[in-house]
Amino acid sequence: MANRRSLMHRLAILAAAVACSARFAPDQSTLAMPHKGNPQGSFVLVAKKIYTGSAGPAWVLSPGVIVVRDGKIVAIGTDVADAPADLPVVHLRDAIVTPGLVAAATSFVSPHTGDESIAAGYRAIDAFDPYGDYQEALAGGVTTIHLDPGGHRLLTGQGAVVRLGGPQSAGVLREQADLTINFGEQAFRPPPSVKFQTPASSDVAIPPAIRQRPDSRLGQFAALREAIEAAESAKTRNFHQSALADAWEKNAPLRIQVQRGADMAGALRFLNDHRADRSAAGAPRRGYIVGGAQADVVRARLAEAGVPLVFTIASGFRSIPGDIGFDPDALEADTRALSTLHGIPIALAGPLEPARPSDRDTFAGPRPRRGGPGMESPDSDTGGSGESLADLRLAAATALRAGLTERQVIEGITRVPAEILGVADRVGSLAPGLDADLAVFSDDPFSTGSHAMLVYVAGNVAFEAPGAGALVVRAGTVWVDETTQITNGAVLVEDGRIAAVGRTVPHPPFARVIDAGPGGFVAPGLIDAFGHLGFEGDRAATDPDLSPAVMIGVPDVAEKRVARAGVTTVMTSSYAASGQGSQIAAIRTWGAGRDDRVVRETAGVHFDFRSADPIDVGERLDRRLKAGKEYLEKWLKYEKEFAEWKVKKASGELDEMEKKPETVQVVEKKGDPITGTWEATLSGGPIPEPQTATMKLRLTGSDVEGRISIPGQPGEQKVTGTFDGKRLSAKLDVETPFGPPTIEAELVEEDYLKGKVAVADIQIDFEARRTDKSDVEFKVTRSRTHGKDGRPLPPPIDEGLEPLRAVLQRKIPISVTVLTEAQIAEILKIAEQYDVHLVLRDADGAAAHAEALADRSAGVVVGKQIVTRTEDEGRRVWYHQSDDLSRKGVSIAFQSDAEDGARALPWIGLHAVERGLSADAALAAFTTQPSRMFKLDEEIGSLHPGRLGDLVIFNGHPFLPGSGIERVIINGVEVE
Amino acid sequence: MRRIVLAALVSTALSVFAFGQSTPASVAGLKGAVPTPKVALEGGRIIPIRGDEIAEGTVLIENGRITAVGESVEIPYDAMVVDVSGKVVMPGMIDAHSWRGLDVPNENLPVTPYLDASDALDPSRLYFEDALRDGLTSVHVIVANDCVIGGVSRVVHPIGLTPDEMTLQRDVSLKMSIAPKRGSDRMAQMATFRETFRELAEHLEILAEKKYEDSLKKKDEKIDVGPEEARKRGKELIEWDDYDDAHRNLVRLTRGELGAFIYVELAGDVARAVKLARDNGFFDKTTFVVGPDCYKAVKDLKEADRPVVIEPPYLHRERDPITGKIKEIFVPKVFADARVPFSLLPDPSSSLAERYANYQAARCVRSGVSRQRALDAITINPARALGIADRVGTLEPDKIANIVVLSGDPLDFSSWVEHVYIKGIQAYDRKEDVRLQRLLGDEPSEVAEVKPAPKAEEPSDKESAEKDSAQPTATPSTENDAPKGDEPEPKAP
Repeated sequence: MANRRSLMHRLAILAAAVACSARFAPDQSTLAMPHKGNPQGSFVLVAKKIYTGSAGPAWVLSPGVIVVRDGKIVAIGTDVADAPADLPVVHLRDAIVTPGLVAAATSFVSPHTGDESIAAGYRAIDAFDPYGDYQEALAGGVTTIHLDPGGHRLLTGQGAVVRLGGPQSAGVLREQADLTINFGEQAFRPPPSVKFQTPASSDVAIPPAIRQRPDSRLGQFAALREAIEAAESAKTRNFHQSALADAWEKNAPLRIQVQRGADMAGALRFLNDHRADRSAAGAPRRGYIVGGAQADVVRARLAEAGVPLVFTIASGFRSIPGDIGFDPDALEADTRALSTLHGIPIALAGPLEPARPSDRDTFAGPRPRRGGPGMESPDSDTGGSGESLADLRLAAATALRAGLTERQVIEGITRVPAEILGVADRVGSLAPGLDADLAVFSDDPFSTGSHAMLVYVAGNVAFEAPGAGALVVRAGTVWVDETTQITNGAVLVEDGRIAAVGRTVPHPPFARVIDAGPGGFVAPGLIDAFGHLGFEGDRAATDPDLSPAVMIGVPDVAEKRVARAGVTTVMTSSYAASGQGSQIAAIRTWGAGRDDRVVRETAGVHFDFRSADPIDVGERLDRRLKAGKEYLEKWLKYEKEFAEWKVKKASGELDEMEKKPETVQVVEKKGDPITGTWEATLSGGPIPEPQTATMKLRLTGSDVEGRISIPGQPGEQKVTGTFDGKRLSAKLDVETPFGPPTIEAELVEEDYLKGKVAVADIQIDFEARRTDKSDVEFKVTRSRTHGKDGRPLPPPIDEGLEPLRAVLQRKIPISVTVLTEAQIAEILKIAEQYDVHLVLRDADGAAAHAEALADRSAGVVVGKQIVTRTEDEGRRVWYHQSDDLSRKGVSIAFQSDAEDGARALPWIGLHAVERGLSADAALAAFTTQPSRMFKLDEEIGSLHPGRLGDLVIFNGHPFLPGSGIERVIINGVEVE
Repeated sequence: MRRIVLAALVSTALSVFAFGQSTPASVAGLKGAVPTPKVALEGGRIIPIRGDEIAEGTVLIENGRITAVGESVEIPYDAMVVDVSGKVVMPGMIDAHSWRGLDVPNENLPVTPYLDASDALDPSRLYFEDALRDGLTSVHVIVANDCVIGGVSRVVHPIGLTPDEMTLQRDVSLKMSIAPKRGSDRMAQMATFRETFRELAEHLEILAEKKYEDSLKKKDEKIDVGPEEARKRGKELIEWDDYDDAHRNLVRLTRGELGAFIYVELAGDVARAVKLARDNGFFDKTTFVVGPDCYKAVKDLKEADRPVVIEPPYLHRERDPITGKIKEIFVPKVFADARVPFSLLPDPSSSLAERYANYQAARCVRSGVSRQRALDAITINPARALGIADRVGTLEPDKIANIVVLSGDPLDFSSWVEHVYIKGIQAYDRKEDVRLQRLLGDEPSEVAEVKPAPKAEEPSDKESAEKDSAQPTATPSTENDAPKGDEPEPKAP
């Protein structure tokens, strides 16, 4: 009967598990990265913080709300309640939003191949492919860039301003944005210019090559001035002259890239002179300077002229230049100068790849192919993928270090460059009416470890970070374990496990960042040391061979509520314990499915001896452990033999050994009513159709031995039993979960047996006729103990004893529910005897054995009643078990003894603290101590690297008043 | 499989194979053939491209033109009847863009509108013989393909003794390229375009002024107006002969007398090409030759509504720079889905099979393009792009009788080209294809049975001896029209 019930129980649990997984198919939407499938075009974006880039007072909003309609920003504020209700909302509670970054100086376009020193006819826009793949630039948050036609000629051509990644029609912001001028060594010594006559003819001589200027600093100003005058006044202009004249006429801004202070001064003078030319009537000549070296030298003049500066932070962020000594005149921008440049609009730019003279012969060659072998990417001169643009933020961080304020830095990579480039009416800041170019960062944009998670261009998603499965949690306190706490630390969770913890941690690409702030407190996920999550009211005890883990499936709302309370692991077992011990499983309260949720299938064996007599307690535990010990010894023996065999096998000793011959035993016996061959028929019961079987039996005295072969089943099964002259009672040597099948049959007439075969409660009709009375032969085989090659065979696995094997090997504890001191004394004795790891539950009398418990490093799962009241000689005495045991050095843990009631467990901790337990001891009793009690400290209970990524973020110490739970992370994924 | 490989080998190996052994059909020329005024191709399955397929019908040719196509065509008594039952009759296929067949296909200067393909056309090029064998009856020959602005192209039949005899249509287009070549870059490329057309405009102004001055000089009058007015007045005085070589064809281009074939490599080039054509007045005569990347700009091309020629390779691969995932796109499918009519190009420089126009069409069908679109892409669509759709590209009455007879369906790769008729004259007969026989001499079954009967009478030992000596030279060759001298590596347009 017991077996039958157990079967039903098992089936019910399995069915529940299956139904569970069917009903709650993995809910991807809650487990996936939060930003996938984000709306675009029109939406409301809510972020932790928004840097608007605006010049006004609202340069930073926290929290920030942006309303976007049809790709344009229509409103910006701090209260989501103001947002229109008809738009989808993108909640990015950890994200920090800036305007799409603007790179005012890039080497995005390869220098053109033209020879001309004054070459206004070249347009950088011609080398831009609006359909290109600029994911790498966008991954750095950069959405708007300036294209320079090369930077290698005195007047290289006309620059352009474009956007990356948006709709193609929105790609080009300014087609002919400026005339790009270069003062300094880069443009010196241009190659001689050769013009061929077309069509080529022998009548026309090839004209000699014409030398071009400039060769020096002095020459550069003269050459440029002369070129402009010539273009303005010439009667017939050549191509470049007419392009220059057109641009000059339209007052195109002059973008002057400089190498050093002298160039900068010259540039200012040049702008000033040409402004003076037109000052009578026309507008002043517009222009700005790109460079940075020796900017502090001309600071006063810059400020006076009001000429903006694009400060290029020219450091090799990606590689250390090997040829620093190439050009003794080359100067690098000194970032320290930045902080001295007051009153000058400064845009920050990343390093430019210098178009050095030595490069001139080679830049025309094919660029290195992108992509791997087999990729059919065309050799392209239309810019790279923009990888180096990602350095813009690195440049910004450098500027911050050089003394610029955060605001100056943010504006220096957003609004100021947009203004300088003349596109501030479209991009560069977040204000109503502007395009929705947004860069969403995982963390503070000044932090070099932050990543762009999401980039919008004109309201369209232009970049979405791939789900990296990495999460960084930063907080004022990181509670690693009871001895290690890090102030202002961080935890990195990668692929579901804690990968690093410390003051700073690595930021893998596209890691999410949660900044809990200085008041934040990160603790390991809380552990319920005794609960029943998943049992759904089933109060029956589970059998010793069954782990509660089998019923764990996709989590339900009940589990979610427990998880949201901060309880990430429950040591779950049935309410009642089987007399032979029920298994405890360590399961997580949240996860995509069983694989995620089961921490350890068998994490302990639970006995409940509350109501047992103390003497009986010892005996019962002893009996069970003894069985376990025998079983363990079989295994130990096998392991030893196997180890020996392996040694022998390796040495070749075994090859000479003879194989054990299988004994064939023939016994002759005649004339008894049983011996012979029987044809049996099995019918009825659960068998749909009658089955036949052949039995060969032999009677020796009253003992019957034989073999039965059933068609469709391999081999013969052994039959052993007795025959009393009329009744045959035998059992089949077949393993079933319900014990061996038995045959009970009566010799109704000669050579005819009739009766039943029983398996558990199932009865099958049995009848057999003897077809042959002659002697039967069958092999008598001993149960094989060795394999074919002489290797020892492992003992059969006994699922019911397997947990005890683990217990006796001290891999998992036994957890015993007891009450009295006497009971505990008995159990301690047995635990001592078998040297097992012990956890006591409830254990009202534990205090008396505190020393012994501490010595054995046994833990106590304290009773649900935190403080009990007793009467001592009429006096009321309060007893606080957790505090008492904790102070006596005994490991303690808290239990819910409930299913989803476990969500109230943290209150128990608060209550215990309120009644005297120290807050850290309470936290340890929820984390490190239960994890050690259950030998799970390599998996859960602390924040050391390698542990599972289960953690809870509080806004203060979890067990001090005034703090609350903020967020729960299980398996590296936030439980939303 | 063996047959496919074999068939592919045929064309490539043939060139070197029997060089100079016998007179190939192409060298004999059309003029050498005895014209038969009336020919009836009877009993074949007809794929007319326009209109339904005819399971068994007749194509009647009179004086080089198709006069009737149908199930029951009355065959004149004096027509030569050719039984093509069991075979497939379709219009000759068209190669819309080729630099092959030229003596020197390129020029060193970037702008060469004064060149004409006919000056470099070499009728003895084996490319033309291969073209016939592969069922191509019209080839658009481009000169100065690598230049920013190349020369004037023409469409030729791949048979004839002189360029003029071969010509189907002269002055088809000027070739232009947005994609930089030979160490140039896009900025220089686009600047060259702007410079050229600006210079053209300036040149015409000065020319007009000069013409006006000259006209006054003739009348012994002094100049009476300012230069602006003089230019205006002088414009009408310019005669055709006044244009010099450097400008003549550009003038024709801007007047819409010449077409333009603009090569766009990247999607971003499409907008540049459209602007270039519109700004300079030749948009309505423009055909876009697009690289594989241009599938991204299919919307722009749809909007432009001009013929599109897609450059191989057709299977385009892209790698995501962040995730590293590789995406494969079958480019013609994108155009088919966007309902943009396109032409396919045979690709002699690519794999063996892709040299066949019908193989390219078959790949399209395999990738989900409809059969009609795929067949259009190698017949009528290129004809439209070249402005010769009124004369070739379909089997319809009054069209030039450029006809291919195949042994089976054109999209079945075991089909052979059996006959090619150009202007109604049989220009290719597989039975007479000496090179093919040399290559496939020992092939049993179908190939054996097409051997002409007289062949068998020849001393067999001699034949096999020749074969043995020829075989080794044939196999290593993979390039039929090996570039000579300063020809560049074979490159797509």
